[in-house]
Amino acid sequence: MSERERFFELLPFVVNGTASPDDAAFVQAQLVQHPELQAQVDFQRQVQASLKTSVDGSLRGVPADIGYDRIARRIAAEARPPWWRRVMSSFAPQPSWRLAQGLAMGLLVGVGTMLVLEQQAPDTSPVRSTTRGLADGPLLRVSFHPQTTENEMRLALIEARAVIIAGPTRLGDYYLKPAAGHLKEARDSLVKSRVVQQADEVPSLPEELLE
Amino acid sequence: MELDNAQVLALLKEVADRDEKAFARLYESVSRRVYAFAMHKSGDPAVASEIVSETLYQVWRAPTAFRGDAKFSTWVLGIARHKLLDRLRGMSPAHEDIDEHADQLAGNTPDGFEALSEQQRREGVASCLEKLTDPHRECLYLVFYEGMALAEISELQAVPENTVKTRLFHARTKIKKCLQLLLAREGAAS
Repeated sequence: MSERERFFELLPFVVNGTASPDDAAFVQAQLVQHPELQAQVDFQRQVQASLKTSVDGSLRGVPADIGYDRIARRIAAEARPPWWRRVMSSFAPQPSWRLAQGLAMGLLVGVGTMLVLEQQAPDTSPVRSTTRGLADGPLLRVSFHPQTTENEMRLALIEARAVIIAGPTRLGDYYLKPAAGHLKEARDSLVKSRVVQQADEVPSLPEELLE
Repeated sequence: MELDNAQVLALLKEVADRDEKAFARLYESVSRRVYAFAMHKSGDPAVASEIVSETLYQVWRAPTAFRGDAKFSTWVLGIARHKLLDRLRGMSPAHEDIDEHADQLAGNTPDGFEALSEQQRREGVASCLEKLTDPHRECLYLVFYEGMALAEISELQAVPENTVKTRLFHARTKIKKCLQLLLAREGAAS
């Protein structure tokens, strides 16, 4: 590379102050040796000044919290419990009814279990917890656009034939269990949905989400 | 006010615990820089404002993604750049190609910049900057407005350092060519 080429390569970074001391010294020496190169320095400084004027002009009156309101809305939406949890909580019993309802539920479960056991042949397969069973993969980890309504989310899940088994996480992700044998179809359907930001296959529910 | 990486990492740790005040502080430290960058690339205040939100929302969602290897502002501008490229993909460039008019120049046309008066230089350079292609304008912006070093630009644009040098060379040549054209047109008009 010729000295002139090196001069032109280094000059922008000497003008913006990021060149190394050696490179800056080289450029200075070239300027002393070839005073006509000063016009190149003036040119680069003019480019710098023009950019500064133009960009500073576009920033006039722009506050430091520009666009923050959009994020604040998203953060508030994240903090809101998901629709299915709100629906579930509407069925939550009132404190004064808890004892009576607990007894009734216990009775129902007891009678139901007896009836089922009477009808079924003995099962020798190992018993696994429901939560663990649901958590077994493969699953889909999905994030929805923050503005998604409950109805849109519900429709996307129905179309994908998948149910939410956990979420939202701190990052706003949901874990879905697709209908048996329909993992790929569920993922394709979710990826195509305009309310879904991302849908990835995961082997199982992360350990920290298991109860 | 620009925060150093130690301050940024401390704030990001608080953001990971969903501390909105820490996030607001980080936001305000870089928002106008992201806006300026987006505005320079898109020329649209609404797009620029949205890019600021989308870029910094990504920081809110994944605060641990920044490891402090680069300057925080460079890292954030890298996110904004990706979002802008996605947003602006398929849109026709707003500039006229300087090369299209280059053949109008006679071989002995003087160096435009040196032949211009102070005021003509200001106006000429500003006008010619607008006519550069996006990678060339972006390079000049990062060098002269952001004051980035060669290695930082190479990282942000995800290209080798030699490509950055080549882009700067072409940007300079094109502005000079554009100034020559302006001078030639003025000469022809008078």
